[in-house]
Amino acid sequence: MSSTSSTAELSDVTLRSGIDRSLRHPVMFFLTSAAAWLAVSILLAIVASVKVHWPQFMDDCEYASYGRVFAAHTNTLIYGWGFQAGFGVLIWLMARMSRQECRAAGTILTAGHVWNLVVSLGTLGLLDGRGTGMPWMEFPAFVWPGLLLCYLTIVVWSFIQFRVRKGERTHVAQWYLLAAMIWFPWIFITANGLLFCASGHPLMAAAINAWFKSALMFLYFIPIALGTAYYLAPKLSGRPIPSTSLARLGFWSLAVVAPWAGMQKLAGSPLSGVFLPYLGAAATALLAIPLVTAAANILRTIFSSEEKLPKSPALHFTLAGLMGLLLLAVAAIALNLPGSSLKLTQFSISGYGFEILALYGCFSFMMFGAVYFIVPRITCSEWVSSRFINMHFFFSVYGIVAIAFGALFGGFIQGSAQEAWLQPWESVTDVVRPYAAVSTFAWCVILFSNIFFFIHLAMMWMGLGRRDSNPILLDSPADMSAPIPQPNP
Amino acid sequence: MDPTRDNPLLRFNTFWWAVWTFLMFAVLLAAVILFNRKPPSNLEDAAAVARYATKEKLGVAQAAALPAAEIAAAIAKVAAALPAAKPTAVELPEQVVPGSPTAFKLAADTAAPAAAGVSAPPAAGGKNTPTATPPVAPAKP
Repeated sequence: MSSTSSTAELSDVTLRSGIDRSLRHPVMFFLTSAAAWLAVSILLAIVASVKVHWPQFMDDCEYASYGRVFAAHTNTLIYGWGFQAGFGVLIWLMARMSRQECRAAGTILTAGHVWNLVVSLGTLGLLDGRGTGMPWMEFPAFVWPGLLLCYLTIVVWSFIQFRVRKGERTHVAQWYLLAAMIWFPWIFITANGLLFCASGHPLMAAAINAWFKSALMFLYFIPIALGTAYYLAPKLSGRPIPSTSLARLGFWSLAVVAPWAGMQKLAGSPLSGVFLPYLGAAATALLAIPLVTAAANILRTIFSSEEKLPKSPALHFTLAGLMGLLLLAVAAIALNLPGSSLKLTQFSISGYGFEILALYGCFSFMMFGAVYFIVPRITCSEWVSSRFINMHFFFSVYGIVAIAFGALFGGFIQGSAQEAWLQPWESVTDVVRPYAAVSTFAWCVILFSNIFFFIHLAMMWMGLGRRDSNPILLDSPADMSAPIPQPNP
Repeated sequence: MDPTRDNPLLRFNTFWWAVWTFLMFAVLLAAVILFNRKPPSNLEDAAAVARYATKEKLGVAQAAALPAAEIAAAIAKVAAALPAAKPTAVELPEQVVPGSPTAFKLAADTAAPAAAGVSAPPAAGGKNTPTATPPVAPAKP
């Protein structure tokens, strides 16, 4: 009996090694490309943030005008870092959970290179002044079909792996990842098709764009983050997910509520009275339910094995991402109360703070956690320096807390100043200036933290990792090879 | 492992199902757009068609008449000339904005000859110097 179980375990370890080997090049390519784009995005964020409180900065360079640089920052953060980190993590997780090797690594790698090329062309076009002016869709119109084709080429193999997976049961993480893979084409094709292929009312174009931003956040990035957390938490803590019912509630409530959110950005506009904006505000506030549900479920898993938490870099980042998720849930309610906070924050920096909290405070931290978990497995070596990891973690947390809180609270102050209509408009810019300065400093801190991340990742890709079978900062390697504990029925 | 679960035919099938799942949204969108196109049915729709055509013509004419390179060259010249230009003085009473410093000054000048022994102090810095205006109290509901 024991020899049968050890044979089965050995065969499972061999299978997992085969999966890691088959995905080594695509995953490492996506993760290192993503890290490079993150650095570019943060540099652009610093330039854009400086220009808010010091408009004369680089004012003789038309390519560095605020409208172009800020748009380039957000779009490189999303399409350069966010999508590529998501691809690397998604294809690895789906392959591992389906217990299927990747048979199209070359195709995926080619699509990844084309994605990089298209994003680069889009960014250059944007900086040259050919942007569309639609937030999060500012790349020139020729870019989106290329991105869609690359996306299809990259994720279709994960569908196949899921379909031919070993075992009948599906894991919670697979629900979220599969759903994100299907939701994204719907969001992307609908928004880009309606805006760039069909002529329509300009007001509806603004509404569609607002819907796209919200949907991309809550129907793509957040599900990928949650799927990653649902995989990592039980894997690293060695405990099952406490409640499948709660997991199911979180998933389906996100699926039902999130598509309705977004149009609160057009409150006060002549858009069908108040119905659509208030519906968007209500849906955004209700998103707190799936976010808090999922966070609570995963946190219970992590804290059921507290001794692992201080030693695991992946758990550190996952926990930080979950805290970001809870903050996001609170902010979703606080910023979208019609009649009170919505009118204050509608045209303020709070919106930017909310987006950065979702993209960096939640999604990016989860991706960092996944990177620290996945990379040793596919490179067969361990991270070199725990100090680098700590620097990356703590400076990222400090930076993102400063940006998120500064922007969220600063937005309220800014909104109140905007409502004081007896005062000149320049009092509004005076009020925002300190928050913009804090944001600049915070982005510098985040750039500093990511330098360590990039160096560390590059060392791992170049084969300079530590040749050690023991994971960095963990006690026992046996924990890392345990199968994912199944959730309680 | 279930031998029927993983085979080339199933993989081939799943590939095309996945492609169709993705492209289904594009097909649905195309259908919605095509079937919702309607000819102008009221005066506003008809006027909108003419308006969009005019806008298109204007855009083409403007692009031809205002090339970006010439605008960039002209900006430097205009920017140098602007500081040297003096603002045109307001001459007619109809040009005075109600509630502006000039309006207050004119009102004071008009009232001063009527009042005995009162002379209005001269405005500091010349007539084009902006001065702080008292905020206007909102009307009571």
